[in-house]
Amino acid sequence: MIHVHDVTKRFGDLAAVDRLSVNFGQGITGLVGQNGAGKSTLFRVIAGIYKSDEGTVDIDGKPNLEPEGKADVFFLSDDPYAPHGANIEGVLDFYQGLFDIDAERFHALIAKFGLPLGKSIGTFSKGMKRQVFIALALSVNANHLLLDEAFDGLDPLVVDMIKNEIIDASTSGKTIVISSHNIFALQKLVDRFVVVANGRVSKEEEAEGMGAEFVKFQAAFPAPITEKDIEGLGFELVSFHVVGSVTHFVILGGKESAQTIKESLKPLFIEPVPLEPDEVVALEMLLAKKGGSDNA
Amino acid sequence: MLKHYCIWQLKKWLPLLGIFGGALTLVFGYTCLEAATATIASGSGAYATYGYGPSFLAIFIPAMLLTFVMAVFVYAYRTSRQSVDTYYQAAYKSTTIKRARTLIGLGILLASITIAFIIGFAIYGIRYLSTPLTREVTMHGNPYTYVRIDYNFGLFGVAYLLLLLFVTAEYFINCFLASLGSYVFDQICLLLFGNIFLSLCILGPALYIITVGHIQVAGAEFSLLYGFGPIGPCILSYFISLPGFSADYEIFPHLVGTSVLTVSLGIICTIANFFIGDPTGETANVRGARNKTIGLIPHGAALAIGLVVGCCGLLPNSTNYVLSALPWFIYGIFGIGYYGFLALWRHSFKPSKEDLICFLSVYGATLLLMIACTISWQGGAYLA
Repeated sequence: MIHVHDVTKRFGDLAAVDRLSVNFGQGITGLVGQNGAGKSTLFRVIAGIYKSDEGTVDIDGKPNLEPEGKADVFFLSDDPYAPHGANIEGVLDFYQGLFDIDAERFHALIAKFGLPLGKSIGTFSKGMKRQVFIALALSVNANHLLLDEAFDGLDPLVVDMIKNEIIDASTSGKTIVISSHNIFALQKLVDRFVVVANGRVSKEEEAEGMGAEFVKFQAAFPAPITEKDIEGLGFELVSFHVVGSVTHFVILGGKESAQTIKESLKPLFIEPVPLEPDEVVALEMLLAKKGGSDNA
Repeated sequence: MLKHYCIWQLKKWLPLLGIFGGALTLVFGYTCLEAATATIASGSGAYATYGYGPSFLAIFIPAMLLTFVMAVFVYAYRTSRQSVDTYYQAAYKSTTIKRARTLIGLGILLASITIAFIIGFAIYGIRYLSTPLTREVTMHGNPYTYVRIDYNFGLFGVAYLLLLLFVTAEYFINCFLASLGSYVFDQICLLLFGNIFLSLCILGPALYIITVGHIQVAGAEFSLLYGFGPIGPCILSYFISLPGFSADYEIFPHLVGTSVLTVSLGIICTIANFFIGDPTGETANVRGARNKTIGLIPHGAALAIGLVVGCCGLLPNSTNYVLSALPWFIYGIFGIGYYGFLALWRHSFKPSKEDLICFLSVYGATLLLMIACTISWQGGAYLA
């Protein structure tokens, strides 16, 4: 269990993480949020790379800045370090000096991904490099993995392979926290979502329950309508788009709100449509941001 | 795990051993190849002369310079975001990695020096042994006798041991200076200005002694000018190479003083290197971000240089217009240089309020010192 308690991390006047408290338990958690929301900073604070200005982090009860705490967590950044000119074996050799790595598992994963052992990693594509480091992260003998932009630059086939490996690792009792902009990749992978906005946790929810508060409609009206027409009915409008004669909008509330809209705005037709997972997360982030600016 | 890392790092830096060893061997080997093994004794009588072997400056200076380079290598791991993310999350105490890297770097340096010394010793030894004890030659109709010099090879041993000692001390001083920066440019500036600061911080008073009538350039004051930093040991090596050098030479006590100062500072820096933990990773590759004190480095360096510039007021200035303008010219150049370096350091020509206050304080203090020195000189000249 990673226990983050009231952590603040400032860079000058900017609080990248602001009195944030969250627990990451066994299983897979998706950490989502806009660029600059504080996800990577939070990972670095947990991994002991940054020292928090306030608050504490412990890894299974051990302080995260002490070697005992650090030994049990591995953070894979979005741009990991590889020694200049090293091939895959060279990368493993370097990381073995700093982390407890199961070399056998690493080689098995590399073989599975079909990566060339002898070639310099500098000649690899972004996706190939990513695979090497995912293999490395999954081979570290640490109970907690923090994967920043884990699926960045990977093709769907490889994403699928990696997802299976991550699920395998989580079933063996590991805590895995993944931040990704690729929400589709997180779909059917994570057990729980944590939405971060403005350096704080704005929402924590089981993956299945995510987005239950939103309802998306598509409708056509005899005359064009604006956001104010919907908000005038007392609904909290989250998103509003007009494509041709069809209006798409998302509100907070239940599907029964369609009846109110029908009676008041007399649409030619109105129907609820399902939300895609990435839309749900985007809406959560939008709502969190809105909440943040409202608070400000 | 640490053993594995040390082996990896040693392998990674092994090419440096070749480069450093090669460079030192090239310079020192050439010096040993060119150094005299015989001298001309006038007239027909041959007599043994004590003295000139290879100049140890040829290995002291490059070795001291290499300590700067190695110090930058040692702390390179904290100058990029990627490597900081990797090194700083490893399950080690914050001193462990830097201690390991510092010691491996020292090993590389000392091994390079040893290789160069052995090769230089072999070259000079072979040349010396193959030189005949006496050789009669005639030049322009005059007979001369070439005599093999009476060289004490023990000096090689003394110079080698002193070099190891001084390189170690200077290396730890430089490692400490480099450790204060988390940005390559910062580290280079810290190394340069730190060494200048350490060398010059006693130059002001020494300059005063020299200019007010005690000009003993090869005497006590000169040796004390560079009590710290790399220059002192180099001067020592120069004196070791001098013919007739012995422990009762008048400068010897001052050289011992120089040695003790440098080595003492090296010991303090070793303790600092080994026992003061690294700052956490947020400062990596961020200029002047390690802590607020580092931001004062340009002003500290300027203060040291200002002390010297202020003492320029002691330069003879009453009889010669050019000479009397010189201190003010130096003062102006100092101001421009100080402001320029500050702008370079901060990446902005607009100084912050704190920088402006520090700049005006240091520059003003320099002016006051210069005026005081000028008045003192004129007063002294009047009394004389």
